[in-house]
Amino acid sequence: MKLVGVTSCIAGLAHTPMAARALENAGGKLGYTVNIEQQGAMGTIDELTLAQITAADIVLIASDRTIEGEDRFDGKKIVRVKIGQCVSSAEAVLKKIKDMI
Amino acid sequence: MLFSAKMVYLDLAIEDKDAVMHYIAEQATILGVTTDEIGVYDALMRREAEYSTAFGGLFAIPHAKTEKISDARLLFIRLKEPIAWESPDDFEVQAMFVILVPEVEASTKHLEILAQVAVLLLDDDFKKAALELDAKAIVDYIQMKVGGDLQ
Repeated sequence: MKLVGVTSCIAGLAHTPMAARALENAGGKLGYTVNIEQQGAMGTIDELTLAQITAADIVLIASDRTIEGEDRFDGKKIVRVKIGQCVSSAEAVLKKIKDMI
Repeated sequence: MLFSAKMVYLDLAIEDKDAVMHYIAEQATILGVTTDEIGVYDALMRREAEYSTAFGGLFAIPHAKTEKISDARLLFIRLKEPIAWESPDDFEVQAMFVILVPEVEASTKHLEILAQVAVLLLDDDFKKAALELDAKAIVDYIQMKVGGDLQ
């Protein structure tokens, strides 16, 4: 599975980078291609490229607020997940998403 | 200093989450980064209400970004016993890294360090160390992992 995603939490300090890293680590473990963009206190980190978005099977938005540039994903299947879930159970989240494709 | 042995509080006999948050706010005052203890307590509680900061392995990351804080600080707190944290997943908490930053954080360096510490908490070895080491060892360990100085 190729997945792109955006993590963005209100304070943008801790859950945002943690969720991104947890998802990328879990993706690596499960053999998926996972690229996560963070929209946090330091601005946008690891901004998704057009190539990554185009190649993705599915888009994950882990945010408790509106993210920037959601229109980049027009036409793509989008799954919304609570950011806390991504931190504590990233592997389970990814597996569930794979089942949805 | 963003983080030093002065901001490591070990073996605390605190029994509930509310008391922990009050303790954090009190320490923020003692550290000289706030003059509004209740304001800091409120900010921490508000963040918890949005989504619990407990995430398993006996750890939590309470944090607040608020104009009540004048200068960013990282605190490490370890309780004598795990306590209930009212988290949706029923996680218990014994140790926490607390992140306090001003509403307008001028230093991206601070934010980077804090994000790095948060990500370290995904690592089981790091969590194990944080549950066992003494204050100086914890500071040294973080210093090493973050690879810079904790100014």
